[in-house]
Amino acid sequence: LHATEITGSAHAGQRLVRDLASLVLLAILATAARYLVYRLAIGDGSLSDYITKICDWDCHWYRGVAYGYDVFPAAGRAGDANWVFFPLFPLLTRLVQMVTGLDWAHAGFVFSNLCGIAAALICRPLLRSERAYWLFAVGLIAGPFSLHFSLPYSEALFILLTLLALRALERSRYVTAGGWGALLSATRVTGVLIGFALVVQAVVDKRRSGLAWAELPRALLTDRRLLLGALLVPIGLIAFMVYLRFHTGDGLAFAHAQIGWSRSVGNPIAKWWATMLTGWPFRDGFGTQTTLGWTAMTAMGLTIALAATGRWAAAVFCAVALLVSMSAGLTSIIRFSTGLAPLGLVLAGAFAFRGWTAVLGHVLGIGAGLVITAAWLLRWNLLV
Amino acid sequence: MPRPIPVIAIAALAALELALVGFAVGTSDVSENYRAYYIERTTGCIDRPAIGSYRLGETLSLSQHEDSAFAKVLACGFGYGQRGGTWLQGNLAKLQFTDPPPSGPLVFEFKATPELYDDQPTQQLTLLANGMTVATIDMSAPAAAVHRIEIGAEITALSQDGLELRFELADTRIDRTRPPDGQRHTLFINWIRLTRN
Repeated sequence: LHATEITGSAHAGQRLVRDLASLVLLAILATAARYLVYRLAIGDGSLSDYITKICDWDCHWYRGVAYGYDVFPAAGRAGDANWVFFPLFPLLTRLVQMVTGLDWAHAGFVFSNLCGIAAALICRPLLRSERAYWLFAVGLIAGPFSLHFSLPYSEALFILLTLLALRALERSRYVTAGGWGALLSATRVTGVLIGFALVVQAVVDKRRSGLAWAELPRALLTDRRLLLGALLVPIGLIAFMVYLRFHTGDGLAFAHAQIGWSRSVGNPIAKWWATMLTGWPFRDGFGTQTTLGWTAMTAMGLTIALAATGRWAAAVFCAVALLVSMSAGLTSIIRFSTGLAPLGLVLAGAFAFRGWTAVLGHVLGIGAGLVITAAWLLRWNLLV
Repeated sequence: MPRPIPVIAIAALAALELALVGFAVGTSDVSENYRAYYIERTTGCIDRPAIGSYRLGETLSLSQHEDSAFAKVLACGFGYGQRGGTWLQGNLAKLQFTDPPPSGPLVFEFKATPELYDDQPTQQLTLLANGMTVATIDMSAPAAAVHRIEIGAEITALSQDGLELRFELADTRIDRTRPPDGQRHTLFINWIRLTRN
């Protein structure tokens, strides 16, 4: 038995090294392809110019955070302040910057790529077939929204941490999942919602162990590992709130500053419907707004598919995260949806249905990735 | 078998988190200006000091304003610079000419395009200088137009700190290419200029 274990461990190690090598090669090829798109869309320029060029939109906000939060919105701006951007990603990128001596855009490029490769490396247990695994991994690194793994944006780190938390939950390791959750809640405002996944996974686990519904409340409230895990999740958010309270005087500054972008919290369904109707029929803004509306619907459809395939914890996390994101308007719903890793998991599973669907998935994904890179370079604001 | 987590540790963590959230949320310490803009949302204009000095006669393009010429006079109420200019985002916006404080009779000029719809065919702008109304402009043509407003010496003398110009719009108009919670666009301004009369 001991020899078998050693052999199994050696095989796992070999596969890890093989996967890592493949993913690094894939990341290099994907970067080369996106750079080619840059050359076609923008013109001459080195790889370094390309990396600088893609550092656009919120990239500058994250850079600002890395060098310190605003005390008060700067002159020459509307009321938007960088308090809405959570600290973990910019702090870690700043660390990469300090270690490597790279500028912000290049440090972000390196860190986001590392997060992407790590996410692709650790996600295998969350996928149900080898074909689905490679669809998801290639999708992350070279797929439709793979540009996020080259940008100094928090999506790459958020996806990595989400996958780590879901992996821990699959093994019923609530405390470990809570630890990853603490980091998630310091990365994006929706990170704290992984707490719902924790509780749902505990319910699923206890039901699988034969516990009756009536016994569940008591069993949950007396599960110390679950309680500790759930309490760990909001630590990142609470630490940020306390920091903001000292720094700005307002512990909820991250939420209040949304007004600087004319965002207010409301009924997510009403906001979705208003978005769908904006510009109807076919006037200014109709195409843009309905694209956002359809994206939200697609994301919700994938969330239902998650539930239908028994991934209840991930489904609840995505559903709540989508509704919270939509409650502030659908302006960034494309980016928010692509930051929800479980949606990619279910999509990869669907394309892995047959060999030809997998090939189709790869072709569509990689093609869309190149088109979206061009759209980003040409400042198509749907992706912001 | 791992050791069970002590109940006291879980209770202590829960209590600590509750206390920290209570402190962060329940003891806010912000200015009235901050509260009105960010928390109560009763104004769309959050005052900030201007950066840098403004030379009389200088034309300031509003198409790019962060760390640029526009920041010399912007107090509040303007959106991000866009191609050709920027939007006023609510029904109040302010400019401050404080470094150096201008004196004597002045002329304020600006180029603007109103936000007009079939059911909102005119837009009324009231301009105040140091709190005194200096012009009420009714805009009903959809094209950009240059407006020229004289400011008397007695008005500039009202404040030793400089000249504050307030743009007050009778109603807030919503950018109809966005959902209802989108930007409150009221007036598109291309450039501004203050000169001696």
